[in-house]
Amino acid sequence: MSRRARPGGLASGSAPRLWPKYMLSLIRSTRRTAPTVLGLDLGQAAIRAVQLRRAPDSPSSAGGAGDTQPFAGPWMVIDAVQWDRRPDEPAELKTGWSERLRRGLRQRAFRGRRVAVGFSSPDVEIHALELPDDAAAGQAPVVAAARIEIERLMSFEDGSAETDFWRIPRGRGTRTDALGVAAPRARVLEIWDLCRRAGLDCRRIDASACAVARLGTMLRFAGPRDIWGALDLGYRAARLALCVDDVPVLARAFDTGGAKWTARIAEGLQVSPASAELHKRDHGLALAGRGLRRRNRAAAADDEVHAVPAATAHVPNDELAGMITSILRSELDQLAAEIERSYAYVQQCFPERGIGGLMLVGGGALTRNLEHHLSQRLGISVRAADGWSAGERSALRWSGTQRQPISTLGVAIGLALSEYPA
Amino acid sequence: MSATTVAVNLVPKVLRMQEARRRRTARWTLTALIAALLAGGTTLVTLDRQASAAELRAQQRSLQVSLTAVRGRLSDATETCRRLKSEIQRADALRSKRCWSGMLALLSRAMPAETWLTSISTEPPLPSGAGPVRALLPSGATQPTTAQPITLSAPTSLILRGYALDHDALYAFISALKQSRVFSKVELVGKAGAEPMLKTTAVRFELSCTW
Repeated sequence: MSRRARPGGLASGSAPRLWPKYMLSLIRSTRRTAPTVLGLDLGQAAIRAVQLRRAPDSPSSAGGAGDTQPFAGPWMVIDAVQWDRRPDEPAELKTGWSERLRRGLRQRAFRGRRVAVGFSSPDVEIHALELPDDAAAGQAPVVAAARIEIERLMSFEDGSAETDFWRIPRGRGTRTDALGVAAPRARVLEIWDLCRRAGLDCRRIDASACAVARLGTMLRFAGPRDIWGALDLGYRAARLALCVDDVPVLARAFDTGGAKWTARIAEGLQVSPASAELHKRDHGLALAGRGLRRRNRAAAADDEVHAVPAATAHVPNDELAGMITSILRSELDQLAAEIERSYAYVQQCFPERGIGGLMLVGGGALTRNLEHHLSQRLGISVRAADGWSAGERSALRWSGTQRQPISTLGVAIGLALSEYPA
Repeated sequence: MSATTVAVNLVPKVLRMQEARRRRTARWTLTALIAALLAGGTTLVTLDRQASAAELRAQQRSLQVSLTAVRGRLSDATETCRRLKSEIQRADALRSKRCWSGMLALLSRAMPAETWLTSISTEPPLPSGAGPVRALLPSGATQPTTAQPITLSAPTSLILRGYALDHDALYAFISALKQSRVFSKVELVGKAGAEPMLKTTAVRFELSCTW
């Protein structure tokens, strides 16, 4: 007599055999939707903390067999918080911040004590390295060689820095196959102690370039074969990370950023820095009437898809925006030129790949119309990270009604993903 | 795309190892603590149950001793009750016995000369409830294993059978019995019929004299 499964149920004899399978499935599901570590972005203008978890309806793999898209979403923001720092506050996080972090995090919906902290320029230096192959030389000698090479290139004193590196795909005409990171040991230990005092378990101190690369990977910012970039417009500096696949292959820092722009606007308009910050965000930049200097077909098509309707597009043609644009023109031109140069270099190394676009993160990304300005200037698709966190198909969702700009939380989100299995 | 993502860790390896060791120690300590708590709790529960079981066993022993004593007393009381019942029944039986010599004298006085009896019996003929005495004794046994009480029911009437030479003699006999006031009722059972007797006839009768 054949054993038949009841409609909507299990054959009674098969249920005991299927229990292990169900338990395994339950454990996998629980692990898949477990909270990430707390991403802690210790910026000069603000300290930001984000924690994520995979949404329950997210597929176990991105697109089925063979497709192993890292950080396949959608992801839920469990909680996100930002504490602003005083402009005159020193870069070092001295007394008071540990207790403030301890109390502040306890009041939020964060789970666990594990944190991943991000370091960015000028606290961290990133240098291109030429290293022997791991398989040929062994891992330990390669690590030692990387350390020596990084210490040779870095501006910090020898023996006073912590180093690490990551491998990058070797491009055409270059022998660079790794990027090395160095950070002053005193700064690392300061952050370590801060976390200890705040009752946090610091699992990782990562470079912001890696964090924004993870964010871009999660948001599926570019096509799978494109060179794409993330520009972190921070308070002290602007950091550019150009990526191939999900690996940053070029990381650069520019001596410009939100503070410098605000100071220039305040000086040019004869207003206070606070007013200048407001003008920067509310009025932003005036768009030039000229056409795109250089566009590739992919970027043009991408812009058509995401085009802002003319009726709702905010084009600040007012005089204030024009004045701000004039004030920042040299800075913006210099920044655009450096970005263009960086893209050209990477494209030269990987000529078989297309240009995928540029994602803006950081407080400077809130400058109105900056993305349109850079897009026009560079001829590529430039959008702030918030553009990918809206809509039902977004890879990032918010829990409840809280909403914050993804651009400012970009590094923290990337850090939160650092300890999560891709 | 590959499934591996890039991440660096600038936390000194020494600190990472220290932290990992601390976490391991904390984890093991917690595990050991939980295990100890579980084991201790289980042991405490077991000891508590064992103590309760020992107490209950002691109670059971004392109750069993009491039960044995009560059973002994009950057995004695039952035996006493049975003995008393037997004595009461024997006394009743003895109380209901007749003085048969006096009874025979009464019959002699009341019976005319033309009347004679062929049989005297009682009703019932044997004491009811007594049964045959031999049936109480198992085969081969010399005496009963237990004393069986004998319940005797006294006879309720006397059956007299005989003949009279004529009906007048019979009626005189009945009248004499009635006048003796020993019996509450004297009646002729059946029909008194004349039967040939030697060279003449006699009236056969059966009288039931009820006390």
